[in-house]
Amino acid sequence: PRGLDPRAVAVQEDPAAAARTADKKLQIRQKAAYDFAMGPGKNLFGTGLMLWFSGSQINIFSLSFLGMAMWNPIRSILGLNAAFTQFEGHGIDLVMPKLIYFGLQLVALGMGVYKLGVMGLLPVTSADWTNYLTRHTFAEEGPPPVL
Amino acid sequence: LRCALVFLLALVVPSPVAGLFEDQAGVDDWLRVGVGSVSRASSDGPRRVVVEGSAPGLGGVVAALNARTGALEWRFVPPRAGGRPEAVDATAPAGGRLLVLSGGGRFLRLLSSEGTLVWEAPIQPYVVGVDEGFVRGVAPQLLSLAKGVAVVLAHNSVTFVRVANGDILWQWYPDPEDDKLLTDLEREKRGLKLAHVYVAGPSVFVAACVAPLHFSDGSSGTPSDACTSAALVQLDDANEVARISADRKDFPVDSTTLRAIGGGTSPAMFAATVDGLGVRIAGEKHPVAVPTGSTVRATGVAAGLAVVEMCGAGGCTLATVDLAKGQLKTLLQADAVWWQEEEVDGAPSLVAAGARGPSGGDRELTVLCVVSSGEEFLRQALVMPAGGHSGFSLVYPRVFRRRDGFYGWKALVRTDGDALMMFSAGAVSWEREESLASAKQAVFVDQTPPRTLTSGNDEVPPLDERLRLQLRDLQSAAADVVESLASIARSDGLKSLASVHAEASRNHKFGFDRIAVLLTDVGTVVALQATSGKVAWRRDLHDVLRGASRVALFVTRGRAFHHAASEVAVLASYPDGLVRFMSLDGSTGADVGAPGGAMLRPRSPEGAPLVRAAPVPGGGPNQAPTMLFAWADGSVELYPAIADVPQLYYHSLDETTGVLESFRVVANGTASESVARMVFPPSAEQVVAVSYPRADDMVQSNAHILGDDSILLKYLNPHVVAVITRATAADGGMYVNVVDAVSCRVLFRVHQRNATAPVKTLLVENWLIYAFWNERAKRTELGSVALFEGMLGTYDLNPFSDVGREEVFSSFTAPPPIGLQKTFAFPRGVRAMGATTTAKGITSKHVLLSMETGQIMSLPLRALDPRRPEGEPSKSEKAEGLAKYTPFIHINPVGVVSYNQTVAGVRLLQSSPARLESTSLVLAAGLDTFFTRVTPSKAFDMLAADFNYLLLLLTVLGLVVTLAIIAAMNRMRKLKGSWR
Repeated sequence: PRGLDPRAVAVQEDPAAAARTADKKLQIRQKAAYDFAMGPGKNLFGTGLMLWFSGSQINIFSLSFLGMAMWNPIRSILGLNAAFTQFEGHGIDLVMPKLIYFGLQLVALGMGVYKLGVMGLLPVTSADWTNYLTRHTFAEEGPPPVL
Repeated sequence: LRCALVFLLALVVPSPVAGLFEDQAGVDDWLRVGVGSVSRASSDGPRRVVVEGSAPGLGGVVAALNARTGALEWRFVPPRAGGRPEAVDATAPAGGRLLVLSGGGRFLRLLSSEGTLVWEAPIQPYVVGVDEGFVRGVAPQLLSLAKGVAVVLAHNSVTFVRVANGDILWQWYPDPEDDKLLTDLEREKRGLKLAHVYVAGPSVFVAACVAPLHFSDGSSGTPSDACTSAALVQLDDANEVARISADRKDFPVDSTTLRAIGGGTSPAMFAATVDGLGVRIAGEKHPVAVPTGSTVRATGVAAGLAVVEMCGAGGCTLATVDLAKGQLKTLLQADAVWWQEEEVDGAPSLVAAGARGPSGGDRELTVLCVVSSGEEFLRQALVMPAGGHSGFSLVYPRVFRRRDGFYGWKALVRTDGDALMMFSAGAVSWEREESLASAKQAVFVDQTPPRTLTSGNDEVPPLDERLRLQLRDLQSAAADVVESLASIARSDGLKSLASVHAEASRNHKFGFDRIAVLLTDVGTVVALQATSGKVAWRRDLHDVLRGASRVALFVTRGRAFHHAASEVAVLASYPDGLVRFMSLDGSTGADVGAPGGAMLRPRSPEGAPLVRAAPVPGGGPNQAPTMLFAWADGSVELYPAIADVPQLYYHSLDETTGVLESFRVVANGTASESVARMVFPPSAEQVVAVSYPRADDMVQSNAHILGDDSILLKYLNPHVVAVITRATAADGGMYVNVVDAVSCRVLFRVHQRNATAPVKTLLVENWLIYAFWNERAKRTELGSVALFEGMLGTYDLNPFSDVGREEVFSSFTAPPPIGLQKTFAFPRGVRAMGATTTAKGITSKHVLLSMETGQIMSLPLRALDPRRPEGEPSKSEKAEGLAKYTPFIHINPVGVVSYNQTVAGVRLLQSSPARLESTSLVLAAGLDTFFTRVTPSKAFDMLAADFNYLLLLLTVLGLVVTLAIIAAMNRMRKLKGSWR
């Protein structure tokens, strides 16, 4: 009613119930943090499908998909702490969610790296290091004759 | 609306893309069409000269030249009969057309006035019972009669051919059944050797000499040009033997001088006697003083009058002979004389020319004309400036009546250096460079002149000099930019001028404006502008190189270095071991150093032939090499001398004994010692071809990458020599050997069955490509050998791995390569082979093949890869681009770099890198000289000539305008949003 000052009304709280509510809230927050951490996992399938469909030929589409697939995990890993600020300050343990989030991003990144390998863009084969082959110097000098 | 539709249609229907657009033909390439070394000339009307030439390996050429400009009007090259070059024996005009006798009198052809073939008639030789040696020395003759009949004297028979259709009307040969005289002669084992045919009125007279018959089985006599007496055969118009008259008294005559001459119906005979002491005229020996040892040629100008040319050691004399009295009257005395019978102003006359003067110096040319009465009516002498040319070897004078009523003359001259010139009104009216037909070597040099430095001959100029040069380069670049901008802004009238400047500037920047220098068999050095095909300079070294057993041309400085211009060197070795080393300025052809070059000689006083000459890189001043000369007596000279002599090797290969020997230079570059030796035993094989790799060929990578990213290591040994030997044993074929010339070890050897000459070889990178004739399959085949050091797996090589590869390669200790070989059938004969070369060796290699058809083809080396799989290619092989092996190489029309042009008689194919990595400059030289630029991996570093700059400009402008509009719209939207 008009004019009622809520502070004037004393409500007797049940400490046990309050504790239960706080616990429940914590659990919900914890679950939300885990859900957030598992988020990249849900995208893995889509990313994989996208990379598969883009083919192993080097063209603007495959490269842009690959660029996205590589850049998104790297950006997410770099912004890992910032992404979890929403869950901070509530006393929940963020170590595991962060580790899961990081791991899943690494998996996504791995998919990109694998794709790089499939496309032959990783310098791992002998063909990429032919410059390291020593050039012979010749012990004998026998120039081709002119006459 | 219709117009708009047509416009839209034109926009959406682009023309199909071919290898070359029609308007691109002749832009990057040029073709110089030649006529070869001219041996005879005749006039075909006042405006045309018909010349008979020849080119090595091709045979004869008949061509018509514009008498005023020297431009080629048409050319006819007889096809090679049975793979053999077909020489032109004689030509004769026939009613505006031209009869051509070729192949040693075996083929008669009629060419139209445009040089197209009308018909071809084979002339069957009728040398009955006796062998070819009997008629040796008699040149085939051709006469064109007024009644539309051609007469051919060849192979001891006279053939009458109808000019209209080439039908053979009648053929006569000395048959013992024809005449009692011939029967008698046969009994005496003698026969008639037909020497000269002459037409008088309705009859045809044949001058013949009575010679001992020698049969194919060699049962009688020895081949000789000597005849025991002379005879005259009269064939009347009923095509029968009317009369054969012969001397029964032995009277030796020289068959090559025998002529039936004189007018009327009873011509006289003329022959020089074998002993050279008199002239036989009309059956009687007249004591005419013919110099001993001189050669005699004769012709008749009128009844009772003959003209005799007598040439000996002291020069030539041209004289008239009164047939009745046998008296000689000298017309002309000169170093050499030339003459021909020709109608001058409607009267049959003899036009003669004589040249006198030292070879290489100014010459006096005398032209005179004698009419049938024996009277001279023109005699003019003129001193011809030498102009860098050696002596005259052919003069074809022509006399004509000028508009002012006086007689004038022209003379077509061939020099010893095969330049063809027309002298008219006392000056050279045109000149054609025909020595290129015998080109045997070609090199490319830069034509950029050297920078003029104020400093002396120091290797590196001082700092202030360098700064000054940098400043000048900067100014030049700025001027180029200003010029480019100005050319855009110029009006239409100046556009062409600007584009010419831009073209020249582009050619210079991209390194297209090089100079091709060619050495010819006749001793000329000719430099051609690569951009235009014009002669940049020429040197006639015919006199200087006279007597040389071997001559070579090579580059000693490819581009100008500080104050030194680009340089080429001509090297000549003489049988006594003397070596001439001439350096010529690449851009002007002037002598560098002493005129005539430096002379080097072996140490032993009795002399020894030169075994080897090779450039030692980086030894000489201004990036020119030091030359290594090695003689058979073991003496060695390094010229110019160097202080630190590296461990130098050279080798000798005696093709007769099959001995390949390697020598090491010792005693500070003055002597040599044998280090290794191998033999291709002459009892089993004979060396037919030797090939060396190009020293200046750049190889970018020493690894060949496979489809699975593993690598094959190329065997890049600079000492390899390809030696092809012909197996002399019963099984025949050829051996293909790849030999290390330092250690004399055979690195690879394969027996190619049924292979015969001609063989062409090419060593490029780690490949050997060779073309040969397969005598069993009757086709040309290409063999390819690839040599590899070894292989590294897909993951074997990385920055941290050690693949155990020796850094120092020694020919004596290095393991032999792994060689792979495959053979391919090629649908055309190969005349010459070459390979593309580029600045850094990144661009793929193509093999250049000059085919018998006159086409030049660029074939990817990959098509000849011996690794092409027999079965279906695996995934890795597909990724590498290896196609399944098929024995046949097909000619890809787009790969024919000469497109629809015919490049006849190509003897050599030479390529040179441009500054642009994508482009290789290719020169094909022979009877025709062709130049083009090829881009084996497409022009990846250059915008196409038809690049649409306008569209690019419009697109950029459109984008800028769109961006500006969008930016403005965005600003307005934001502003509106703020007011909400």
